[in-house]
Amino acid sequence: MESKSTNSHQNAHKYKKVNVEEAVMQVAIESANYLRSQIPEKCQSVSNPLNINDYEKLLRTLADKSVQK
Amino acid sequence: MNPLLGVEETASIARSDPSFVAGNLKQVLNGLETIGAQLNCVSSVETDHAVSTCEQLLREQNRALPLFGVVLAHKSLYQRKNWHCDGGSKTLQNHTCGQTAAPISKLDSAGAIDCGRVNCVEFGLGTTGHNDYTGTPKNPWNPEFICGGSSSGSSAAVAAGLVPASLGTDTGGSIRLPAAACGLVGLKPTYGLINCHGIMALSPSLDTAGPLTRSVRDAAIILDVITDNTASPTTQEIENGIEGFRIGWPTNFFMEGTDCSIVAKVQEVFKLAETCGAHLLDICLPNIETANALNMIITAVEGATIHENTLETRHQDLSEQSLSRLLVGTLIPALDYQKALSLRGITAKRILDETFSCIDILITPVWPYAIPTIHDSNLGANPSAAEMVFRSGHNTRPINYLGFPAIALPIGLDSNGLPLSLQLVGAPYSERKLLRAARALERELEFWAHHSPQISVARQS
Repeated sequence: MESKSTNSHQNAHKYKKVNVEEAVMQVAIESANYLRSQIPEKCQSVSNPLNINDYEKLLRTLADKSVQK
Repeated sequence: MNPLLGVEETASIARSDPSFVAGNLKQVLNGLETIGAQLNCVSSVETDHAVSTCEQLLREQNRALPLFGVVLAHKSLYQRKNWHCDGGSKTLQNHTCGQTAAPISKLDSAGAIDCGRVNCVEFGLGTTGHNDYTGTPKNPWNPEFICGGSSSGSSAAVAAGLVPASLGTDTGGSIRLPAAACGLVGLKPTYGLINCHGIMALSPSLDTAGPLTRSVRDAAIILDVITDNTASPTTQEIENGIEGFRIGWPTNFFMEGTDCSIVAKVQEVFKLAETCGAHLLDICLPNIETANALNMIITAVEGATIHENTLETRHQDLSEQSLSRLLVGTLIPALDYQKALSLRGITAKRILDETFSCIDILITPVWPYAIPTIHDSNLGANPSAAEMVFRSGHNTRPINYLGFPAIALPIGLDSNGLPLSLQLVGAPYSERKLLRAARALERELEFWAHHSPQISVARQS
């Protein structure tokens, strides 16, 4: 499996071709890698708590449930 | 010094004396052209539209309208059909709007006079307010300092008394941070409560729309209008105090990332709430530690998707900071973006179950550090900028991630004479409760009765 930083470098290649400055691209790569490193490790168990994909609808349902308590 | 008229006072005077409306409009337009230019906060003044709206209002004489004759100007992400709204970007220099944003239409129907657009950070993507293309708006409390962003022009215009309210947008703090930097009330409603159709999007999963005002009552009036609330006015309910409210002090995350002097001031107000009858509790928020980063992942990916064509063909016309932040979105795999989205529901549910089952309101700071000068925070795209951008949203981005409502409220001045503010956070759709708590604290603190900015229409003779 590719490391996260290798992945980011490969994605950056496209924008290097359109002449984005190396220094700006480097900041973006470092930021992306940092943000990705913050994703919790236990994501495999992620499941929608109420099987609702629309976040607005999910919030309404959660709010209704918390009022009912 | 002249008193600054708020939304409520302006509408009230206009109702009893409609001849006031045209004179007031003239003063507002003059203020935008003079003080607005001095503060670099105005994007466009639409005199013809404002005058014709004023004439129509005076012909129809529908004085019962909640915003009868109130003159407003909004962030340049808010489109109006056939206007040129640039969203703070050179890449939209020649953009003619094909539609009118939904909240703008509601303000129109309520009798407001829309007189133009105010500057903002490019595409709404930035917390300091810097904008190389439009120029950076200056803070009316001290023009050496930033207004915060991204609704920077909105905060400058309202704090200087040019308009009594301005709509901003908030994806990671863009209403609350500028409101806090300029001593204003900034309301970020629950995600999805306000129809954002016709507002230039940055991150549709996180974007919200709301008002910046000088008072809590004015924020309540604008909220009622843009949510079509015609039942009992929110302004009545929010006068009922906070007797019995349970207010929570977060024991993890928020205060740890905030300067001690700011925490101390927020804590003073937390204790003040007890004298108003609130119950104070220490409370922990599960899973909140990564919410700032997860918000930034979603914003970067969705922003890069929306502006993909600009990134590829006109990146030289973007500011360095916009470019580097949008590029982040091109470097994050779909897998990570999807994880960031999926974790939202789980985190929101845990925090509702474990935190908001014990409290009504959470109290936090807004800015985690003292408001910086324009010069010191003009870092472009260097690594320090990335760190500053990340830290600036420490207290605000997690709330967008959850989708919960929040309000910024001024509580005093810092050692530089710049406003200091706190944030109140509620459960989804608890805006009335939030406004009620904010109003109770506002009555105690009377920020605007004790302080006024260096640059303001109130200082004009």
